[in-house]
Amino acid sequence: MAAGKAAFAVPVSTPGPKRHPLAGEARWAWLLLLPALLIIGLFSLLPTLGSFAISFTSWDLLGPPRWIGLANYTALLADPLFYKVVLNTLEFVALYVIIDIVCALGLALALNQQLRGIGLFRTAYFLPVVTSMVAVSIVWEWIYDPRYGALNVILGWCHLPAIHWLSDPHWALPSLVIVSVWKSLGYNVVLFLAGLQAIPTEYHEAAAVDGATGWLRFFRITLPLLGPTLLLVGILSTIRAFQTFDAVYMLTHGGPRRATTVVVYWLFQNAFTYFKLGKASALAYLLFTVLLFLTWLQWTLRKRWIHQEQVS
Amino acid sequence: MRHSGLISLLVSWLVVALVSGCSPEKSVGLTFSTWGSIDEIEILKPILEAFTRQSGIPVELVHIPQEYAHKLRLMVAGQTIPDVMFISNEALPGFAERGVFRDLGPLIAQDPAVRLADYYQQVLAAMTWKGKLYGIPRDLSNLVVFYNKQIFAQAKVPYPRAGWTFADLLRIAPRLTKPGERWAIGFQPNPLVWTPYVWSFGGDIVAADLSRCTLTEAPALAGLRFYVDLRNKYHYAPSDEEAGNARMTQLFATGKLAMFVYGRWAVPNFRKKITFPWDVAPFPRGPAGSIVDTDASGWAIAAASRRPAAAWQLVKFLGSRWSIEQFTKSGLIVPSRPDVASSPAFLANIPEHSHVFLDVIPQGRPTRVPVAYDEITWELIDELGPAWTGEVPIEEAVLPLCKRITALLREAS
Repeated sequence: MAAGKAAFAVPVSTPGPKRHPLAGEARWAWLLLLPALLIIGLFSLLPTLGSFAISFTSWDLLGPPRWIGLANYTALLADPLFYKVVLNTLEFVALYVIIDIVCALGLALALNQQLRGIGLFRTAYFLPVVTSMVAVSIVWEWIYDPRYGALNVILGWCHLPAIHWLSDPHWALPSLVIVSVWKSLGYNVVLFLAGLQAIPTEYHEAAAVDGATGWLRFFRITLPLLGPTLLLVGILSTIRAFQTFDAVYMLTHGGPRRATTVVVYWLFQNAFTYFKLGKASALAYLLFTVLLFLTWLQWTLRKRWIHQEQVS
Repeated sequence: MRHSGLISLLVSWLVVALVSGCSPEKSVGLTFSTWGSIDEIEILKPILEAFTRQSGIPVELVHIPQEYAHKLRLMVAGQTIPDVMFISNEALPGFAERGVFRDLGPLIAQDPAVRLADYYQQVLAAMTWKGKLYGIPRDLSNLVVFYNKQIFAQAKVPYPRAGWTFADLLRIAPRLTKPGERWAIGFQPNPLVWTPYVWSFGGDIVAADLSRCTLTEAPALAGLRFYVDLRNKYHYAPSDEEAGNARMTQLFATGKLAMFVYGRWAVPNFRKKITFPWDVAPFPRGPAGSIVDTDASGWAIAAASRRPAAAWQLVKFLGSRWSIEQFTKSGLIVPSRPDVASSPAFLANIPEHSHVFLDVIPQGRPTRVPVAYDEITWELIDELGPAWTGEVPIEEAVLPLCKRITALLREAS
């Protein structure tokens, strides 16, 4: 992102021998970039362009791809399942991003205190981030177990009816959101903590002297000054939510009744279970279009949201 | 100068890195892919070693324990397909249709050492696609009823026997069931397990010409209704909450199921783990008979293999009586050859009535495998989920499901 610019910055010309300074430096810059460019070109750019071409074909990997023009796109747009999958994805993204930001911010505020042993808590919340999603899913599969799972046992103590977390079409998607939020929470907490600690304490002290309450200081000082962090966390969480796959693959396989089939999982199914490579590629480009639009929207609206954006 | 030295170092490093990744692999012998547990591989290895000793042809084993057919397809696309592949009849049509396998007919015609009469006709049919044989079969897989003799004895219920019916099942089930604790019969959402109920009531999932879904027709619905009632109306089978995350094999092995419908591949594990006496019986009879699947797996040769003669030698060796016996002794398979099936290799150990697996072959039928088989199977599992838990009547759940399956069948044709 913005940091990319800084990485490319080359020190302004240093006095030296008579040959053209830029020619030498440019040559070096390109040479040093070559390994990265080769890797990105071969394994990211080329497949990306390739899959765009595949999206206009019918291909099952066994024979040569057959050119069918826009048929994959028109078939997708005519398939009711496509709209269900898109709605599922949007629901997941909305739930995930909102819950994730609210919880992460709340936790960051709590962890931003000067207390003994606070480092222990910070570590504890970061642990799930570095744990494999597969391992996390296996543990949560047991937590969600309708009969023996911890969650339903706790509900039972409160005399609440048991919930079929993963097998009830109404609960399956929120259940996945809970696992995903729990898994990535620590990451956003760290980002928010960094943002909070960058806010000069003078502002709070001055406001306190003027008699502002804690809530007022939060809404009038902390939140506005956290703007850039909020934007960053918002964009990262949104992208992560759109790409969600492993929890679905491990816990629900897109069911029950397609309730948790999100775009990337459906894309995977089409590509590597049903071997409809063309349809899967078309789906990838539709997702890409949506993500592009959303990112554009976030960047355009940032001027309205963010009061003070520091150039990094 | 210092710079140019560094540059040439970098460039040579890059060249080495690229070239080392691109050098063609030297072919050492035949490549052979298979799925299966570690136990299965332990049976296979000595067989392959014996082949190499006899023929002088080394074999490189490519073991793909999970997602086998999917991985194989990627190997086809990447042109790294093994010379010889183990393949199931469910995966065979997709590959055979695209010419991935070699037609074994001409090889067999020229080779007096292989006699097709040595194999069950049903398994050969399962390895055949559009009139051509693509695999020498290893095994036949079908379903029977596994039962816990101890529970039957305690409940004073006679063991199920050939010719028993769905009515008999309903009659004995209440005596075998202790609510919340023990159930008369298992319940699995896997289509493989409930298809025999549909077939034995005279219905089917798709029409014989693979043109449309037939689950909405009366006989199929009767079979599905009977199956779902076992669980939701009579409670003879455990609900999802009662079973929790435990599989039916686990419930049976821990003595919580009197009966469950399953295949031969469970036997090695049951021999090791189950302490109570158990046996097998045929699937009960319905209005159309007692019909279970006769699926199969076997060895195929890649059409693109550069060593077809050596590959054929390996496939012949794997399909020989001695080799099939090795697989059979472990209890893992119902052998594809009647000579092995009637030998102690298959019949000597428990379960006592292993011949039940053979008795049901004549009425069996292979699973119908349309091109969109994987996608249809997924829909069958997912769309019927709410019917199995009783949230939606089965008659209602099959309507959108059948529509979707018919659309998938039309799309594929």
